[in-house]
Amino acid sequence: MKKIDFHIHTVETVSDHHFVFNMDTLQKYAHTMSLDCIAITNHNMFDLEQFNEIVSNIPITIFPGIEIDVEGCHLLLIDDGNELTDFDTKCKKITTAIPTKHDSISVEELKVIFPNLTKYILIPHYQKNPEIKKETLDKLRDNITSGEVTSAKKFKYCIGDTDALVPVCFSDMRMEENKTSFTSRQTYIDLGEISHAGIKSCLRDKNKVFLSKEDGHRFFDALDNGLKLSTGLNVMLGERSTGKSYTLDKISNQSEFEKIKYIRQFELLQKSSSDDEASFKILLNKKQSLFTEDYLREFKSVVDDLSNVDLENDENLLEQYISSLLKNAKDSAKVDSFSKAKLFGETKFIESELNNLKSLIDAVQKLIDNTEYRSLIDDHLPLESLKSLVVKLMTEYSNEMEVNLKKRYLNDVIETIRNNLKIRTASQPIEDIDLYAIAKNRKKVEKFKEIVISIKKKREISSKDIQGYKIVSTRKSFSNAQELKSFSGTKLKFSTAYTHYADPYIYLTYLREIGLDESDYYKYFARIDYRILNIYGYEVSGGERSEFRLLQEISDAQQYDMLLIDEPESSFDNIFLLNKVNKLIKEISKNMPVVIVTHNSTVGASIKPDYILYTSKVIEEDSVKYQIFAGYPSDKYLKGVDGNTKISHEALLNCLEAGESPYIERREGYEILKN
Amino acid sequence: MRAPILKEEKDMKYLKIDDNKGYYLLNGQDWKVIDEIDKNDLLKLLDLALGEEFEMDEYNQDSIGNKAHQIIYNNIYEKLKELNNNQDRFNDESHSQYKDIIEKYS
Repeated sequence: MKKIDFHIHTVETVSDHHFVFNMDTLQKYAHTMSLDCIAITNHNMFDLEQFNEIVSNIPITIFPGIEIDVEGCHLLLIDDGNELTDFDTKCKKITTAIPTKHDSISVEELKVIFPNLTKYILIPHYQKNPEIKKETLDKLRDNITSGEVTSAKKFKYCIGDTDALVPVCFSDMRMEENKTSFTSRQTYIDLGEISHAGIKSCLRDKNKVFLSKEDGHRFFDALDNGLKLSTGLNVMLGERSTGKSYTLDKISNQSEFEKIKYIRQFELLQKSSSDDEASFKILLNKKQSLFTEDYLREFKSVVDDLSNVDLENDENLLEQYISSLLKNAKDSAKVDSFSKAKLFGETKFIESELNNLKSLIDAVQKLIDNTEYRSLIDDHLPLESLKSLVVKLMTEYSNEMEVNLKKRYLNDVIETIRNNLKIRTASQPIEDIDLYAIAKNRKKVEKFKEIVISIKKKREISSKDIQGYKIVSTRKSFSNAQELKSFSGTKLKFSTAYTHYADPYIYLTYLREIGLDESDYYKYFARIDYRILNIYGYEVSGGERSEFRLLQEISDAQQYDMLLIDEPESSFDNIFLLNKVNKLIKEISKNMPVVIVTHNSTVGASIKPDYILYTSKVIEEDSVKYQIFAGYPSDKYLKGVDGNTKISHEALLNCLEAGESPYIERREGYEILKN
Repeated sequence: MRAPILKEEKDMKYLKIDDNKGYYLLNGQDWKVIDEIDKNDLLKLLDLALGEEFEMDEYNQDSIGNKAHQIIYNNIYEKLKELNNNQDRFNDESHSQYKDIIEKYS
């Protein structure tokens, strides 16, 4: 098994923060992380001189490479190093083509500079920002087999997904001065002897890449001190001040590319009733806002659509049309050779709206293409008839379109002639008007009013049980301007607008004048309330609020790469921890690494972890030495990274039960009570 | 596309030519002279033209003696005819307008 890191920066470019390369740091990194092979990959450039220097200083295999901005994504291109001058020349062309951090080249341009892409190992940012776009990946399909991901969670996901690329995890680190710790994001490959071709071949096969040296994907290297973690559930035990929180902090700061959810000790503790209520309110508001946005999404599209409707303007157009018509009629006596021309008073053609016909064609096409319900459709509508229908509809569409184009052309002609006649005659020309558009706008407003009337009707719109709590959403109308104002959370005045609340269209025109954000108008038509109730249907109590927040925080971790929890027992009772927290954490750990620090036997022992970590502190002469031991829950001994061992039974009883004799005493006490 | 219906029954007719003049009807009873038409009347005619039954006397220059009436009647007749011709399209579009959205919030 070989350990590789093919994403290392050694030169500051326009795409990097300021740093100064340090050879010692790179040496130390390669040594500390026991790397067998690395690649130097700077942004859009290759420094041949520095590369040669690195090769002569670091006694492992080093490949020359470059990280190129291609179609908005970052692509690692690793050369075999056999023709360094040629590679250097090509990289210089990349440097010229991508002068700033906002530039990138196309795949086609890349192929001009590197005509033989099969010669290289290409690795794009895959589940990592800026991620490769599907169309770019499609264009490079023949040359790309693996993609860079940011975490153990994503790595495992790609291994399990048959359509995903072969995942690789790299450090993406800048080898700068004074670096004291290193990220442990590297990849193990199942290879006997390092070679460019060998690595390339491994990166085609998901059975050849691993998160850990000996344990496949069940473990991954977590810290540069050799600590490994299970990709499932890890429980960290240890007495006070033995470095548990320190270790969690270190894990959480491990990589800037990894999203880690860290629930710190006492974070959810109910400090005071008012504080707790305020935090709960913030959570509730956030959830309410998301729910409202989701529930009213379609209504928002209607309100947005209404921004194109101006009934007042339509009436003005009608007014102009009528008065110009009447004036023209009155002036008919003044008719001269210009105004007498028929085209002077001609109205414009109205183009047919073809959306309905288009959706009809799509619908028939769907019937033709459907395979799932083919026999059912065939029973009622023979395929041949459907095909014939779609052809006829398309012909109709094409004819209508042709007529529209002719109308458009003629309208231009009419307009030009009318304008020419207009400047030569004393007669009032008749303004043109699109009655169809005006009628459509009026209908739109009518439907809009219908929707608003529905939305204002008081109703429970959703009720669901989440983790033993009931979340109920209701809708109703706003009762007064003050309610609108407090809902807005602003000092804006709603009194005038509210007097028109009963007429949604007029109300909308007044909302536009208040100073609200245009994208928020839709929120002011109906009130959506979002309440969290306990299992009995009552408002949640202080304790329940904290419990709900913890459960929500843990659930929220699904969107992250790793979950770290520091002593959840600090704020909660055992029954809650056992019944709800343990269950939820177990579930989450099926998809991502979880590390939980605890002193509590309910959490520590009952949760049945995949891996146990035990921290301890040893005072030797004048110095304090922190140690971490680890092992499976069934192991007799926990092993330290330095080779020392600890008896599991003793470690567990000390941490979770305050030692063996108190544990026996407690157990006997319970027995007496029971009998 | 549907052609405008041009029948003689009074109760369905909204634009007529009588005694060399053009007239329009809004309330089903009182015919008003075409040169009295204003914005609000035209709006009402617009709604009627999109209704179930809407009829008008076809414009005929020879039937209207008054030149001003000829211009007004012809222009409005053409506009309403175009609208009435597109009634099916209008109804289809109106029917599908926000249909799913109305159902969601009902």
